[in-house]
Amino acid sequence: MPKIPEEEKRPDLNMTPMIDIVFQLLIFFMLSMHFKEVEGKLITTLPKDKGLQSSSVLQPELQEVRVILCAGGDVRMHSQNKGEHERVDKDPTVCKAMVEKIDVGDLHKTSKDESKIAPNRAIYKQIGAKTKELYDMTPSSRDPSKRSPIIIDADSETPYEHIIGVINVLKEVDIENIEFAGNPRFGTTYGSGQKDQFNRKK
Amino acid sequence: MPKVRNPDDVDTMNMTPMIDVTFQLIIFFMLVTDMANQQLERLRLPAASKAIKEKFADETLMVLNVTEKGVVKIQGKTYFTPPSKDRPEEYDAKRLEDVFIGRRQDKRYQELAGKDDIVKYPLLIRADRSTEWQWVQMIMQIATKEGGVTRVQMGAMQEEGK
Repeated sequence: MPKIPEEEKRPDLNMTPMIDIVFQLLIFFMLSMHFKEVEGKLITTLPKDKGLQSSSVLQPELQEVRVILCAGGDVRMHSQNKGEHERVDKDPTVCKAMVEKIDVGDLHKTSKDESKIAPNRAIYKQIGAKTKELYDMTPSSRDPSKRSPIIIDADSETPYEHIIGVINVLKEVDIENIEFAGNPRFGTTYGSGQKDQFNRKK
Repeated sequence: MPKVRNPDDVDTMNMTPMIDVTFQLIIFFMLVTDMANQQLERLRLPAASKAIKEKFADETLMVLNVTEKGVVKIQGKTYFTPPSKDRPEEYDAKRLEDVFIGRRQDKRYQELAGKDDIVKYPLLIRADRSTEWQWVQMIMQIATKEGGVTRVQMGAMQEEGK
């Protein structure tokens, strides 16, 4: 019986197609990759089953603490009696923060300028400190044994980051009783017209 | 006399280590790539130290993504597009309202059926850090009025070391 040469015993496996596919896969995953980010949430409570009602604007909690955020840096003087508005300068990246009528400082958009994150944090801290001070000495007019709510009253154009910044700092000073001022624009024009269709009959 | 080289005697490169490394890389990228969660749009969320970790494990969680321009997306589909700046009154949130009306009806059927384990349908609003507040306000107002929503979770990035 003739002896089979050593080279013929081990046929060569062509690795080229496999390497091609592997590289294609590698490139696909590299291009489609974005790292998993650690996301969180802040839980807030909305008024139960009311939606936006004009009564919430007309009959506010008499003793409440308002955190006011005015987009564009326009100072809006809130007066509970007169509802005065006074416009000053306009800058779309600036947002003036006020706790009641106390001017706390200017918040800046960070989407184009990351260096503003630290100054914003300092302003949020001040908002938290000032709000806590007022919150602790303001009993609720509806129930004097309780504290009055904090109402975040922000302009339509206020960046979402400032709202989260304020909620976060209020939670840091142990204030959970947070409410939002509604936007009359959506309160009057949206809706299916099927009012009270879901109201429960007891 | 110089050694004559046999033409069949070609030096072959050992490919094994390269293939090993490439497979390792593929496994790495497969693990770190988050493609399964179609609910989440790529947004730059604001950071919050008090944010509670969200695992997106609850299948009933409805995630509303609000882009920088105010476009509202659920499961990758657009449910609301803001009107142009010069015609702000011409906005149409009907599709968004229908989502919450359906959600409320679903909950109502469960209540009528006397189910004890009523699905709570948690709501998470993820908005870009520079999204105008009015679009988040709009969602919350529609959610309250049409969907009877009382608790809203607002998406934020967890700050490192917290």
